[in-house]
Amino acid sequence: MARKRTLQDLLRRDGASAPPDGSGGPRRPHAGSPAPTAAADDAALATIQRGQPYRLSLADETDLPLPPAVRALRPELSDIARFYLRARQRSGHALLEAARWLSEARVAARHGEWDDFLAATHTSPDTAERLLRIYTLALQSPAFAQAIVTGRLNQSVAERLARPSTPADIVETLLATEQPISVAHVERAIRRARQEPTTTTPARPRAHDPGGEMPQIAAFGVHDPGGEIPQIAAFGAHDPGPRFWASRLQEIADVLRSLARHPEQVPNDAAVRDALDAMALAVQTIQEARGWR
Amino acid sequence: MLTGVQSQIAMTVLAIAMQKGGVGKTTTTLALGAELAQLGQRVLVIDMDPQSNLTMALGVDPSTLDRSIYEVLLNPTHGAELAIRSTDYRVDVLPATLMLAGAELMLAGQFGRELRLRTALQETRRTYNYILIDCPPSLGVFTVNALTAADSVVAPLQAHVFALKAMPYLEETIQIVRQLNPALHLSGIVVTMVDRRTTVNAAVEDEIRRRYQRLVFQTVIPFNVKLVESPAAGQPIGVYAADSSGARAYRALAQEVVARYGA
Repeated sequence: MARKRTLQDLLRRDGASAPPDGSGGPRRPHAGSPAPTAAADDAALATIQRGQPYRLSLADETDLPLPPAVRALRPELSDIARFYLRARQRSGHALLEAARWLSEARVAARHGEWDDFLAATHTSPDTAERLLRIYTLALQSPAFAQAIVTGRLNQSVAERLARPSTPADIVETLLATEQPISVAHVERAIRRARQEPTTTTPARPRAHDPGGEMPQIAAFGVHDPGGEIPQIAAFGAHDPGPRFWASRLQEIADVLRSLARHPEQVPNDAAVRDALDAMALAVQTIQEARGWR
Repeated sequence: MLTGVQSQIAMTVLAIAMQKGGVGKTTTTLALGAELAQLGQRVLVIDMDPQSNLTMALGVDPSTLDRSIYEVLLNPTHGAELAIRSTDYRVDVLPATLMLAGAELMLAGQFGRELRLRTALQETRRTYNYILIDCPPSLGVFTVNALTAADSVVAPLQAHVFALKAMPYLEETIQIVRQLNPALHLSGIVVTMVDRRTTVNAAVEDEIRRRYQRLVFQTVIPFNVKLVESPAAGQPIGVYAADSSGARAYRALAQEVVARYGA
């Protein structure tokens, strides 16, 4: 006959222990039970994994889905890409985690201790300030945090975006793009935002004014003492293509030369700047395609 | 077994937590918070449960609120002050509404989702002597937020055999959350719902004290029907039934808490 269980039996810690709220918590072996076998371990593991255990958001999370373009690579390259992306993800997580702990130190430090903390950890005040801003923005903007984790933002870009002087709408706009973001992208977006006219009268471009430079036009003017614009001249020198296309490109070169000579006649608005950007990008693309850069 | 008893701390954040429902978490948060306030302490109680039981027990109607813990968790860098409300019982409350139920999904997968309450309380905690966080019974993002924000955990433990078996799960959870909050530890156990007429309650209490020793408060909370009625009335037990055994017990517990954690 089985021994009647007493209250003390029930109170023993190593007695049968079902999770009180059915959360699928860990099971402990019964006292005196046989040594666990592989099959028993598998069964126990299946039990533990039943349901969705809570996972902390720590730096060792590596569960980003692979983009289709990565899966489309040759298998060897796809495998390497997986490791590369996960390493990049870990570095993104690590950046955010470092920023978080720095924030903790900032809060916990008493008078005079913050400088001691920075000195002890070989962290410059500037670096600390930048990391603190990154942490704050990461908490405010899930898209910003995610962009760091996925590697779209490196630390330099993250720092630039997190500056108080960077308008929030610019941060949102840049984060909404799918492409990697560079410091140049951020700087350009900020310059545009600052140069947006506040009245309907187009502002006069100041090609050589550092505060209001239109680099797209200024660049074409710098190298034009009356001769050819190098970026366009390259087509005439190297392109063996049909004369038709060479003539069209030369027409563009003539227009740009004229603009560079008379920048005051060029409206300084977003449409013009976008057009000039597109032209400069097209030139760059052609040059790269033809091996001229 | 995790141990740790702190004393002489001016600002203390306590998570009232146990991964089992019905053990007295909300009752303890409410009653203890009100009694600490009666002792002259500046107290904030935080409702982390979408069921809003603590909020309603303080006489606050969640349906009338335009700001709650939900907005605080979504905007932690703005601080908790944006949603804190005073009550008629000298204790402030950071209330919860049903909106909180949607926050878990919104926070899923986000960086720092467990750090939001801690971030929001960084400045707020300087305003209070005690912050008591009423945790939901399940282990989810709200409980982890509470544990990450807290200095330590106070566990209400029903004087029942199966309630005692929940303690290892709480200890395990504390160990996990220490990856985010290294200072977190179990600092107190309150034995609740004790009916001294029964042998089993006495035996369980003895076992609790044997295992957890100095962690266990000397005060036990008796099973008292007034403790069940007072939340429904929207009043702390010290107001609803000041002479009841439950009220006397929580007054004594408040004294012990002040002695243990300082003021």
